[in-house]
Formats: sequence, C-alpha cells, structure tokens
Amino acid sequence: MIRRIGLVGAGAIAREHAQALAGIRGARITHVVDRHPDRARALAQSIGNATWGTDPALMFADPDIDAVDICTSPDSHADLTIIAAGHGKAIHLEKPVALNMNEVDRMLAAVQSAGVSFLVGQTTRFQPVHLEMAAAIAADQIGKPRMLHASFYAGHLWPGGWRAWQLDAARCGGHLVHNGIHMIDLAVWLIGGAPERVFARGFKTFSPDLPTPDSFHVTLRFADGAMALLEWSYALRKRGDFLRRIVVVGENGSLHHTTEGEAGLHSDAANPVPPATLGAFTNQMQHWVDVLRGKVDPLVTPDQVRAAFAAALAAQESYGSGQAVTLTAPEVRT
Amino acid sequence: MSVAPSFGVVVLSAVRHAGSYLPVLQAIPDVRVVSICEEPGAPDWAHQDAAALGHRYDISVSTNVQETLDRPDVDLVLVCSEPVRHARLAMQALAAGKHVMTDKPFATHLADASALLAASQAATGRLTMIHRLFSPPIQRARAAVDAGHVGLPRALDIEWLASDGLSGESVERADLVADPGLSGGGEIMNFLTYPISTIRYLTGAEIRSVYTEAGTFFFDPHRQSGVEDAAMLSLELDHGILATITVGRVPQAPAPGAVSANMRLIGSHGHLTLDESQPVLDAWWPKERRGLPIGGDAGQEAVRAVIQHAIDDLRVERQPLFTAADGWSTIAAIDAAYRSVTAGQPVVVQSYPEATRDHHV
Repeated sequence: MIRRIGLVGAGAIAREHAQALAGIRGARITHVVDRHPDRARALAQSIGNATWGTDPALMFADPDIDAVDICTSPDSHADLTIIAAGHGKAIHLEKPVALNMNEVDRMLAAVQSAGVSFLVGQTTRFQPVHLEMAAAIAADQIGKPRMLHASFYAGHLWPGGWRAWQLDAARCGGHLVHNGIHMIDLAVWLIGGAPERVFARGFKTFSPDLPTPDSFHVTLRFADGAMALLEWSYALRKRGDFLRRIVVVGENGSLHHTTEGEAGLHSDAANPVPPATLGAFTNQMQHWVDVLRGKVDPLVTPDQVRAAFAAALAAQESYGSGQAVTLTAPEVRT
Repeated sequence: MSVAPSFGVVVLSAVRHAGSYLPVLQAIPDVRVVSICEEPGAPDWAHQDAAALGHRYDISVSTNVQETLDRPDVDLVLVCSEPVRHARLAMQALAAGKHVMTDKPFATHLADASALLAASQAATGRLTMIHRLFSPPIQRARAAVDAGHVGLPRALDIEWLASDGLSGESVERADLVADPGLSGGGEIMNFLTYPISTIRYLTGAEIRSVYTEAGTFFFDPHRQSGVEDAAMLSLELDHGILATITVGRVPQAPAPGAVSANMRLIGSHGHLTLDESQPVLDAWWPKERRGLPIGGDAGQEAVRAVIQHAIDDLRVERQPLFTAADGWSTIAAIDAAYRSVTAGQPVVVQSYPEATRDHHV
C-alpha cells in the first residue's frame, strides 16, 4: 500500500524532503500546504499529481492522507503536531522539535495518546558517516563511548539576509537550539544517554549586530560521566566552505572522520558536501517510510527527543548567562 | 684560531623524559653533558634511572646537587624530575647562577609557579621550559597568522590525545603522570601545557576564563589515584577569542603515532588546520600499511628544536622563546582548569600582575 503524505510547509527543507521522497517506493506526497499559495502551488506542481492549499487543518482532516511531514519554522511545530496527532496522522517533524519543554511534553503526550508514529527529523544522524559510527558503536567496535569531539564548520548559510527567521529567537528558539540540536542529538544518540550538565560559549562572526551567535561551542556532561565537546561555526570565509571532523573515544578504541581531503567534487560550478555527509535526506525519508510501513521503530526515540532538546535549551541558557546549567535527569518516556 | 668553549649541561634528576633529551643534547656540537645528578633523598628508583642513563650515555652520575650546580663548567641545568620537584629544583639551580630549562609542567601549584617566576626575575641565569612550539606545523601556523593570511584569529580548537603508553612506551612509570604525589595531578597537569602554550603562541592573547569537564575513564593508575585521564575545556581569551581543548590519555588516540595532536583555527579572513601526524607518505605492502612522516616526526623535531634553540639563545645571553612568564601563564590556566572542575562552573584565570604581587618569595 502506498502511504499518502501531506507536506506542511514548502520552504527549503520541504523541497529537500520532496526531492528525497520522489525517489523512494512505498510513499508519495499527495498534498502540499504553505501559507504562501505561490510556494505551495509551485512545490505541488513540481511533485506532479499533488494538490495544494494554505490551510493545514483541512489537510489534517483529509482521510485520504496517511501521514504528514511538518517542515515549518519551529514556532508552529507544537500546534501542528498536536492537531495532526488528533486526526490520527503519522508524523514526521523537522527539527528542532519545538520552542520549549512544555510544548515538547504536550506533543509527546498527544502522539502517545493518539497512538501515531512520531519521527523528529534529526538529519545529522542520517548522514552516512554518522550511521556508520553508530553501527560501529552498536557492534562494540570501540567499547563504551566516553568522549565525543565534533567540529562542524561552514561558511555563512542562512538565506534571507537580515530577514532570516534564524535571526529571530522568538521563531527559532535561538541558534544553540535550532542548530545546536543537530550536534547535541548526535551526541545523545552515539554516547547513549542524557546530558546532565551543559556549558556554551559563542561569537558573532560577521557583524556585532547579529542578534544571535552564528558560531558556538557546547560541552555536555552525561549522567554516566561521558562528555562531549561540540563546535558549530558559520565563520569559514566563503559561502559553501565545509569542514567537519568527529572523534568518538571508547574504552577500547576510537573512531575518527574528517572531511579534509575526502575524495569528491571540487568545482567553482558546484560545491556539494563530501560523500560521507551526502544523502542524509534520502536516508532519513527512507527510514520514515520504513516506519510508516511498520518495518522499524523511529530511530529518534521520545526520551532522546526530550534529553537532546532539554540540553539544547540549556546550551542557549548557558550562552546567555555565562554559567553551566545542570539538568535534572530527564523523565524517560516509553 | 679560537675554539668556542663547550656548553656544559647538567641533567638534574633523570626520571622524566631525560632518555629522549640526552641524545638530542649529545648531538649538538660543543654541548657537553657534564653530569646527571639526583638528590640524595630521592627514592631508589630515581637513582636507578640516573645510573642507567649515565651508563647508557657514558655520563658521570652525582648525588651532590650543590657541588654539581656550583661547577664552573656548567652553563645550563635541565630539570627532568617528576613534576612536583620542578619548581624547587629550578629555583635551586637559578640560585646557583645557572640557566635553567625545566621539563613541563612549569610547576604543579600556582604558588610554586609564582615563586619560580619571582626567582627567575631576580636571577642572573635565564629560565625556560621544554615545549612543542617548534613543531613544524605550529611554526607554519604561526607564520600564516603573522603574515595576516587568516586575518584576526577568532576561534581555535585543539585536540591533544595520547595513546596509552603507560607500560613504558612513552611514560617511564605510570605513577609519574597518575600519582599526584609525583605528578601534581592527572592528565590536565601533564598535558594541558601543550595546547595552552599553542593557543597563546598563535593568538598573542591571554586566557581569561576556563570551563572544564574532566573524567577518569580508561586507566587503573588514574582510577586508583582519583585523577582525571581526560578533559574537555572551553576557554575565553582577550578580544572575545574562543578556544576549545580536548586533552588526555586514551586507549588509542585517533592518529597513527603516539599522539593525536591537531588544531583548527578560524580567522576573520581564512582558516587553517594543523595535524602533527601530517603530511605523511603512505607506504603499502601486501600485508602491511605504514605512514612515513614527511619531513620527520613532528614531535621528535619539536623536542630537538626546543633544546637546540634554547642553547643557541643562552649561548649569546638571549632569552629563549618560552619565558618564565609564559610558564606561569600555563600554570595559571591549569590552576583555573582544576578550579573549574571543582566548581562545575567557568572560572576566571588569575592574571599575571596579581601573581607578581602574591608570589611567595
């Protein structure tokens, strides 16, 4: 049976998801909504045979739609998720999950109560190098992971100039939340636990008037003592520049990957991310379709959603206060 | 034709790294290691180490410290004791009017570092320390910063992870890095000097605030003593520069050699990466692959160069690159790192003028 998907939002991430889903059997996008009708229509037409609209409520009420992929800005995530769950739709939700922990708990309660599947789209997990790392750790290749050190650098990425929603903390939750969650979730997943202490610093690369640091680092202390140092920077000089390095040190060995020197395309005309990082959206959408078809459980579990998001909020708080933030052990939800 | 007088060196205690410094010293023309000296009250194993190295390198061994320090043919005293004796032995050698080069760390308490700094300021001899700033990749990085190629440095990330080595490969005795009675701390005390001095060398900025997470994850000697074997640090420097450090001893560092030593520096107008394991020539055989360091092993070259440069400087009465104030600053950062571990919060690094006021001499 083909799963019929409604796409909420028609921005950059939605287009990436649509492109990835186009190549996957077993599901297809049948409806697109966006508050901008032109954008909704354009994306629906590019998919072919998809209808479009501007009201997500109508889509959620449509019995011909099995699942929804919510790709809007974070300030709308909680309401859309709760309404979709109320209509029994399976949900894929773009990160970050929400803007605050109260919203997260309401959302998790709603999807649990409705009995629908809920996958938060932590795309970084689905980058090939990280899937490989997780597999190596799961196969006990390095023993218990004790330290994770990751440096993710790029040139300035945000579209929209000074209008970018990423500059508005009220809409995105702050940079340490909406991009910090990529790395924090990765650490929660690879180390396998919940952070209990978080510290962060950041800086504004290109303008002192940026309302948020475009570059930052976060330290995490996990309940079992493991620790992580995570760096995120948009301070590389050229747009399109890309440098990533990740190390996990375990009790018996270490895993390491760097994009430096990775074979791939280097061209002024096209500057794709290196192969070990490429293809995450396809992997992510394939996983979601597998979830929809009942083959697997969502890779991102509710307790991980909660633990990573609590740490991301703490990182944002730490950046503001200059102090480390201690978290009480997140409640584990099953 | 005049003949340059030889430059006399005493190795004062030989329990730590002396085995790798002695061949470097003996390879320098006109340098003569006149004695290996150990304090009479030192433990038997320390005397055995001195005797073994004396035998191996055909150097006389003494237990009369003052008499050895007073020898007129001694120009430089190289302190290779366990870390807790560094400051006291260095001060004793300075008091004898000699130049002093001490192994790292500079001292194991900030008060000792302050006393040593004050002693060096009052001494006729000059004080310096073993460091790795002459490692070729660090020199290339400094040249790039000096040339303005990266603009203003904004952020640095340094990883310094050593692979085990506790069974005699890189550490003579595990207690020398894990028993606080000898080492003064754990691997923060042992290793943090390297990344801290690199950050200060490349930025010209002082470290103002330190946050540290530390753990004891991997090794029994560290567990038994209750000292850390690894740590992760967040630093804030002058000018809003940020730095991060991953440091420690792990079962296997992610590098082919004994140490994974690498850095990323982001500047306003460019970035650079540094890896002491690179460049490497890959050599392949049917059942083996080996990396041959191009231009030699960076760590060995750093040790050779720091000793060579220091002696070149001291022979013409010039202060070597690494000063007593630099040594003090590394200990101020280490002191802050440990205070942060205790506090669970970022702490302010004690600043240099306060130290000169508070010194204990």
